Amino acid sequence: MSLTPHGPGFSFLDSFEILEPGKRGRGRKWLDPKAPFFADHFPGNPLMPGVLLIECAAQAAGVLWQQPGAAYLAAIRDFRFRKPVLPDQTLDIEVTLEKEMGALAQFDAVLRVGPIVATQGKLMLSRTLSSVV
Amino acid sequence: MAEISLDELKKLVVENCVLKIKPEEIGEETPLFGPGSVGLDSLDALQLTVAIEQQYGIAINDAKVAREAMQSLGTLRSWLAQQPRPGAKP
Repeated sequence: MSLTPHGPGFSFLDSFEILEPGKRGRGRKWLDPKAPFFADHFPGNPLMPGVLLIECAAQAAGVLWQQPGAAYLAAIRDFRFRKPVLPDQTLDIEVTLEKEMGALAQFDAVLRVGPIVATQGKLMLSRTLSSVV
Repeated sequence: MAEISLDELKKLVVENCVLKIKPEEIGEETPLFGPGSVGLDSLDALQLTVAIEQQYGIAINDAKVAREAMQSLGTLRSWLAQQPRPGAKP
């Protein structure tokens, strides 16, 4: 069973471990070299796209938040892409709930390959598609 | 808690929110949300509550309280002034 509401073609989590219930958790994703986006990003020089690293963080945050329905990405802030992420590497995706209010929640995300921080930033998820007013 | 200056709160808003007007146009009574306002939305409100908690140690956990406190910089300043200082003896 999938960890997230996404279909198998857009799942960016293989597993998820709760570190502190409702507060902090860690997902894992092995980056299959056969994933279609590696073929074109970039030809002969495959590199995990930054937007998909953000998607990894958003999916991990969504699992941590444990909402009854889908949670939607509402904002991203201060993302830094510090190291390239390559095919056949495994990402550790640590997410921490910083604040929840109304239909929104803000998370801190740190994505590592082994001990090395590859990407970090903050994101907000929304329980609904129309809560940004 | 101790009085917080208008300039300090304005700096907090400018650094943490997406403004639709120039910072110098923000007055104490300028609405933060809605028509004719600074142009903040609910994402800015959440971001602002995180910044307030980090800067002053005062948590705003209720959306209704946040809406009332954040009507303008003036209401926010008054609301913050009424909150007990974290760690202070009652």
